[in-house]
Amino acid sequence: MANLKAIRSRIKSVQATQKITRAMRLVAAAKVRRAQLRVQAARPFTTRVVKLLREVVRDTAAVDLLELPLLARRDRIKDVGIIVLSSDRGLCGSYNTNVFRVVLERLEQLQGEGKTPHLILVGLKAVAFFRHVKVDRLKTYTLLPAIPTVQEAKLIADQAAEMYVGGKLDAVEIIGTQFISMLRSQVVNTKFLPVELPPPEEHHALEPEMLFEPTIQEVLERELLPKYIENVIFQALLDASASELAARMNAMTNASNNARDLISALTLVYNKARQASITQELLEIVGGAEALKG
Amino acid sequence: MAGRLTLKVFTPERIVLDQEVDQVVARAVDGELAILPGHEPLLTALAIDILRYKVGRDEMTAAVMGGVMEVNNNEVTVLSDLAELDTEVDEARAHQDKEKAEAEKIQKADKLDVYLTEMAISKSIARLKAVEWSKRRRSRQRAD
Repeated sequence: MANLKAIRSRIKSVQATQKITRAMRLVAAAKVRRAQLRVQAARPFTTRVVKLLREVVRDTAAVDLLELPLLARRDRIKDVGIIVLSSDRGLCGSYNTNVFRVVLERLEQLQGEGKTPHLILVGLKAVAFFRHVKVDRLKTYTLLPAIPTVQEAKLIADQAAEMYVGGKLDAVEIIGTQFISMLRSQVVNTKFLPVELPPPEEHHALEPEMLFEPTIQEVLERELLPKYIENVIFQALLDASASELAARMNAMTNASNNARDLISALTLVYNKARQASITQELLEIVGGAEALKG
Repeated sequence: MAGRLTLKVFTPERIVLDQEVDQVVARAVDGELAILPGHEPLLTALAIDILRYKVGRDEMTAAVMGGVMEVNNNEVTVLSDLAELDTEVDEARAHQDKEKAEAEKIQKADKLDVYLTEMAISKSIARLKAVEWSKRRRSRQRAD
């Protein structure tokens, strides 16, 4: 029979773990609600920016667009940047592993096509994971706030755009997790740069012409495109953080449930062992008494 | 009159405003613009300044930190990184921010740093202006 004292300390330690996982679950649950609201709050802005950009590009002659490097598609794509969105902290189930698996597949695919991948890593977990992968790392961003703000998005977007415009990268994509619901999220690969747009239509002669102040290029280049790229990153960051928190909440729920099951199983074993030892003692006493009676 | 305008102000973090108005006055990068119902389609970059809008006889203000304004079909859409209604501005903090940024500006030599502090200054000025306008309006109303 198992040692009574050992079982008791086992139960104690599982209980302590359960306390931690339960607390983490509550924290994640509170945060995930806020993150979810942020994701939803950001959507109207994103749809507006995309709509406006489409409208403007449709109304603009293709010649005018040629001068905008962010829109221009390069003939020869060699250097591809991949922005990997991961978390800073663990204990969130398979959240990070799912992302990394997709990234590794994509890396292999790119190398197979003879292109050179470069990584831009977000989150400590990605940094730790890709330390041993032989791929060029351009930038790393770690310890972002749990719920990202526009500032971080701006920073990442600006630096990525700079590398793209400067010719260091020919295309940039984002691999991150998209938040679908509390229980479901999906790893998605978003093409970030060059900006994907529908082909401009040929005829729209009778529509009212739009006025641009100061000029169409300036509005596009200084306002709309930067807003657009910032927002793509911002949305991706928000989605990733909401998914991370949801994943953590689920992982912690599972852990708490496991701890509960383990405790009840151990308690059963403990009680059985206690019973057995009592019976054993009784038998010994009775046996001893019988022997004395002789 | 060609009906009313729908004014919508979006930021990446929230919808600041979605309201029927009669007139919008905004500061574009190259000057002030008044939009009345029936305005022709327009797209413009906004300066860091205030946005004034009229509902009936009442005039309201909001601080808008740059961005773009689209006018189309009696719909005015403002997309900005940051926007606050006059009622939301924290006046004491705006003052503080302004002083801090001004103090920093003197020390900064790098072009980019100076630019950044100038941005911060104009943001707090826009905030203060929004508060100022709404105060003036209120005192006028009291006088009536």
